[in-house]
Amino acid sequence: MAFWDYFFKKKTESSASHAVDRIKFVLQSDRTGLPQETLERIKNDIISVLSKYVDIETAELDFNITKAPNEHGAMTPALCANIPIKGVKRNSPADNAKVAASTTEAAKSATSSTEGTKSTETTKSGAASDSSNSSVSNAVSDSTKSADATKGNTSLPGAKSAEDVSDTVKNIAGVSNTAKSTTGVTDSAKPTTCITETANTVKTTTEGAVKTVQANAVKTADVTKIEAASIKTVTSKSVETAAKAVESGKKTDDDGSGLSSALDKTFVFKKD
Amino acid sequence: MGEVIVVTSGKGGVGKTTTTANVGTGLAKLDKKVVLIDTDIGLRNLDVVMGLENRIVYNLVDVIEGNCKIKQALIKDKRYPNLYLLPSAQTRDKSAVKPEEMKQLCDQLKSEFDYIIIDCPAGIEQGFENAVAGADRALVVTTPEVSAVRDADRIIGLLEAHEMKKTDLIVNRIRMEMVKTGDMMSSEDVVEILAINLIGVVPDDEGIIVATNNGEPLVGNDSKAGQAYMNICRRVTGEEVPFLDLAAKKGFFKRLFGKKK
Repeated sequence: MAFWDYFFKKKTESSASHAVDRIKFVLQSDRTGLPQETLERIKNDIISVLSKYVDIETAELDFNITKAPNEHGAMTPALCANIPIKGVKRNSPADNAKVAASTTEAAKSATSSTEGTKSTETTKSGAASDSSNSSVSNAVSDSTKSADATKGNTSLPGAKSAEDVSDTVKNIAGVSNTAKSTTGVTDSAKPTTCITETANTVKTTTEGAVKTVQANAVKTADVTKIEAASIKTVTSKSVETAAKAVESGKKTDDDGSGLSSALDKTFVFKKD
Repeated sequence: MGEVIVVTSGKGGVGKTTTTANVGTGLAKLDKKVVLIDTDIGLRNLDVVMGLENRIVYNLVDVIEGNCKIKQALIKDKRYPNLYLLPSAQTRDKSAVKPEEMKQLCDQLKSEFDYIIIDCPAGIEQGFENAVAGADRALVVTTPEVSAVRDADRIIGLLEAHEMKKTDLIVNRIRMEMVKTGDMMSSEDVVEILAINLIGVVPDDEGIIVATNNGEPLVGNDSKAGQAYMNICRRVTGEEVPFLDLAAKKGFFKRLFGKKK
């Protein structure tokens, strides 16, 4: 039968490319000191944030932590994302309202699962973290309306996170510039402009988001607990931390600060 | 003023000692004055690979501890007028030498030699610290396997932490027929993953085993590995040398009548 195998054997994926994929995957966590699942979540969170504004070609998505020279020429770990954009989503005001409504609900479910029993199954906590992510990101989109609610309440870490996000998105805009050439998006002008737009909106909205969440927390005593939890996660600069908080409420502080400092240090979005 | 080059890899068995022996011998063939230092204290090997094991009197630890002068411990390779070996101690351990002492030793040798090539032990502990302490540049040796590449990445990170001025990569033991069938990572794959400058690709060659058996480095002979090592030496000296076409097939007649390499 070996004779027929020669002609009809299904082409299997080469072991070399398998090795390359595996080693890249392993080195991502080796280089950053972050566990693999954290990196996976960061990736998913970035995708979910971006997909709120643009259609992303997930199949051709390239998301890697490699090394790149910094401004001093030294090689540092860098997050290189190549995210092909298919088109732009135009969010109607009705959508925004819907999003706002779901915000508190999502936050509630996130906190309740934190306070709940420790026997969180992996599947359940996965789902819960999804909802907590949406709570944070939805709060972002909701915030433009009531950004002026409380100016004095803006805490430094929150403001910093806003800058971080806007920087990030700006850099992604740069990346998408190269992305479009490699992935063959035909409409050359469109993706770039819309990303820059997004960068601006995210900048303004994120600043607002922090304010809003804090304002709400002060207002409603009943919801304070829930909101406080989400403030903690928002101000600790990372959507990822929200997911962590769901997994173990107690660990939030340590993980949050550790992670955010690691992100500040190591994650540099850069053009290809 | 000489240049101190450390040959390192993280993982054991990827060819550090063989590379040290061949690069050192190759540079000596290029009329450079070279000393090889084996820093693998307790697991001495560079002497046998170089074929100089019978001539050891003093060793690295003797020099560090002041039991002898540096010149007394250096073994002159009679085959090449410019080549010397400072062997390691077999009966001691890595703690017998401190990084500052290695640095001092390297600084002293710099005035005397063009190149000081240091054979680094496997691992990232004290032996590694000793080996890199006095080095100006590093050659990271890896093979196209996940384990070796992963360790090389770790080593590259540590070399950066040591503020190594220059770090170059040698991909060793590549088998082009396996690369062609997609069963081995190519040197391009490895370079893409590790993101450092490639200074040489050495094919897997039975000749290396024969050379080690005989205690005579094969650098500079007409085998692919011998040519590859010589090209590395020339690149180390700053010459621009194109990479060998390792995939090139032997001609029809050579395949029929040529000696099996």
